[in-house]
Amino acid sequence: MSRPDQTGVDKQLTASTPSIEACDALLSSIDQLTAQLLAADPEDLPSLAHVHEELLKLSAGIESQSARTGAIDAHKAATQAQKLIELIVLREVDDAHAALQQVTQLINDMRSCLESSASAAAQPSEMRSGESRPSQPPAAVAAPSHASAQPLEEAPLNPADLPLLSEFTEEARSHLETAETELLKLEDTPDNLEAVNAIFRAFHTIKGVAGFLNLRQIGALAHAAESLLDLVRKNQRAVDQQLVDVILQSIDMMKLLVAAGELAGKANTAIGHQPELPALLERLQRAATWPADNAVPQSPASSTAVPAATDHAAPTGDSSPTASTRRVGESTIKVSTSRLDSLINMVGELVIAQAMVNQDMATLSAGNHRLVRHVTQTGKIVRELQDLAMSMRMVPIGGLFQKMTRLVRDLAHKLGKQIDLEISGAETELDRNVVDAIGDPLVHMVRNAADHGIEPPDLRIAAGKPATGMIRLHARHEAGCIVIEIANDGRGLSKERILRKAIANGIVQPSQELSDAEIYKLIFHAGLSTAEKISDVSGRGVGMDVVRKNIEALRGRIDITTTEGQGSVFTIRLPLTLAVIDGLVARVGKNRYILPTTSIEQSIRPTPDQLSTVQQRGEMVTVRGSVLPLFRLHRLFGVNPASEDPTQGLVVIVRDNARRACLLVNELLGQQQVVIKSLGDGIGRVTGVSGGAILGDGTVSLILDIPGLLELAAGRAGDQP
Amino acid sequence: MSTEATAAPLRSARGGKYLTFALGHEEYGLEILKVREIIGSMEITAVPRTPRHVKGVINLRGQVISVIDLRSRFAMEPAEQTDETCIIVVETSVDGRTHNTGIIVDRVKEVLDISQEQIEDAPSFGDSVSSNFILGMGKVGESVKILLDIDRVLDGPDALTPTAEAA
Repeated sequence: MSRPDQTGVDKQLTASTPSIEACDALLSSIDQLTAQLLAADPEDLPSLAHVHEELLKLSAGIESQSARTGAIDAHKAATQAQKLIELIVLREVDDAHAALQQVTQLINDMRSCLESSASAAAQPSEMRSGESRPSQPPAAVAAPSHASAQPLEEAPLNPADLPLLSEFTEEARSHLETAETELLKLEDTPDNLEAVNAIFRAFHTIKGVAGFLNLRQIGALAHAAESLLDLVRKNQRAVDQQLVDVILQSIDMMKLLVAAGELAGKANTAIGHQPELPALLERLQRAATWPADNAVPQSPASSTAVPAATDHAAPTGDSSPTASTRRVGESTIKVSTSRLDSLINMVGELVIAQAMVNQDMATLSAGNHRLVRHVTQTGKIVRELQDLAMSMRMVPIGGLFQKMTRLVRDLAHKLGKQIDLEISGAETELDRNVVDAIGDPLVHMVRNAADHGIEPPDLRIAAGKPATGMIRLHARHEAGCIVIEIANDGRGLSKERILRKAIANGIVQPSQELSDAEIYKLIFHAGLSTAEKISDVSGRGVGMDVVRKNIEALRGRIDITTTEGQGSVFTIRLPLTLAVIDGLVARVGKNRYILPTTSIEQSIRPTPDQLSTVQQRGEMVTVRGSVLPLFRLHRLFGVNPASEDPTQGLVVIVRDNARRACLLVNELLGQQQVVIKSLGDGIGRVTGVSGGAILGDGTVSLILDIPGLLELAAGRAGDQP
Repeated sequence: MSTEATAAPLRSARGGKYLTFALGHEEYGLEILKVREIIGSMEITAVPRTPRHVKGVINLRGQVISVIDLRSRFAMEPAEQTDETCIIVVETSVDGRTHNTGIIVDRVKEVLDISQEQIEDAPSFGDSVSSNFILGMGKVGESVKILLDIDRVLDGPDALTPTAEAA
């Protein structure tokens, strides 16, 4: 897309007070830009893209200074420089070096225009530095008018662009996420120009890069969305529901296109044609030419919008310098997760090595105080290093919560309900992998809360509640866990309905006595949905059991508290990281296995009268009145035990939901925290084993997967003599 | 098992450096680029319910990697562990992800430069010996080194030995 966005800048001069500081900030960013340009190479696309982005920010900054004499010329120069860079990138100029020099010249012009305006600021007049007008850009820029009727032909991707493409998809996603968040803000505060600018910038950046990579559909969409937003920026279009909806649709479509682009990049083909796109482009165009319909009083005639122009000039003027300082302040770098993982591995190894040194020291060099002191000091540093390394994988949960904002908004629209989402504890950090894994369950739960929990407005009012329902998402740390609460002030769970349904579906027997908590937990059963009718939002009874499975797969658990008529709170407790678990080390023969503490109820040494058999082979242990099957770990795993006699060993009572069983081991060696490692691709999945852990002596011990183990035992029980 | 078609692309560039090792009296070669390191034998944690040639897992500086007994993979007689027994860690890539696997060999010999001209295709042995994991036969002086396509040895679609569960 070579069409620049601000060709017809036709700003009216307004009599706002010029701000010297803003001007100085502009001048210093111009200086930085000049320095970058001097070092730039026409072949170096990423740095050109960066210059382009800076120019864009600059021209936005200059625009906010439009009250100034000289600013108009400076803005024109900036626009021309932008165009030139686009041409260089698209290889549409003959002599790229000369063109770059021209850009530098334009930027110099821009600077002198601004400087002259700064000196003239004291006496605002019509004294324009008009004739320092910069040289004309090549004529090729006459933008072909944008014909959305034609299908947009996609060329296959240039293999040389592939690294750029993967960078682009990643960046585009984060831009789209920002745009979405800002858009939702905009919906609540329609005069929030900062949000408009942020969304505009997101589309603009995407457009720029899509241009380099020749992604036509993405470019066309970004361009159309950007043009619409530009009207809003120029106060020629009011923010209304129609606009928010069409931009949201554009964001969704863009996500699709970016995903398609990623796939196309991998398969080295052109992006598939999106059939919905032309219609969307048309809607975008219509939305742009439709200001009068839903007009907010001051919107149609921008020429008279003097007060509006002044009060939006202030925020934009401020926002662009702060945006750039914020970028500097954060100063983050991207590191691939595999590198991070290997760092964490190395630190883990260091901790183990340190533990060995410690052990040796204790036995070999008692009395050497210097050595002891130094080794202790090293140990302290190693521990701190480990904490630091683990913390590097931590990300705030806020991003995930933010996605729910969009979900709740869409659901409320679809269901005809009024729902507010309140988020707290967004800064709570947890392991990146946990964040990824908890996403789907959270969507399910929020969806359920909106669909089943919150009542329609009329029912709410009838029940004496405010018409607008409330869903609260809250996260906090608690005792080495992260706790996520999803609360709603809706109708709450109905014990009777759940029980009735469960009995009807044969999940429980009518005669069974269940506690309240047990009844509530029934909603996690597959096939139990108490929603009166199935909607396309939820009610098929598949959601909640998946939620529970996912959460349990993360070694977490979920609890419900609810008051009928007042709402429910679902509390999810998850370990902070998937990387570490608490386990009991058990020995069977020479082998040591780790049993996750969360699956263990207790361990006992059975007395002979606790043991019994069925048909002389199914072994059972009677523990406090309940009869549990006994499985011998050594038989399941085919290893040699130290002793076969249960009364000489230990029986560990393990639990997988409602299923309980006894595992016979030789002895328990102790409890410890271990880092979970995969067994490597060479081995793949092994039933009954969830991974490996490196013990203090450097050997690998297997972590048992209790549910898998019980399945294995159940399958084996029949065919064992 | 016909491997003519699939082995063809490898044939053009088989010359290069090979790490040679011994299993009994036979000598084998591994492309040096696939070899990550050689470590002495160490305590291996057995993993239940895996094929018999999978000896288990070891801790390679914080990374858990699986270890394959090459003798057992090739259905050869097991050998006594000696001071020379060692584990060659090889790096293979599956679906673009690289991973390390240890292979147990009787003894490591040397690194040899074997040129294209010295390498011949593996002869057909009939049904008794599977040859689809052999890159070629390297003739060095009087001896013949069996050059292994280690990716196929580790991930070969056809099991070379019956698994423990079938046994």
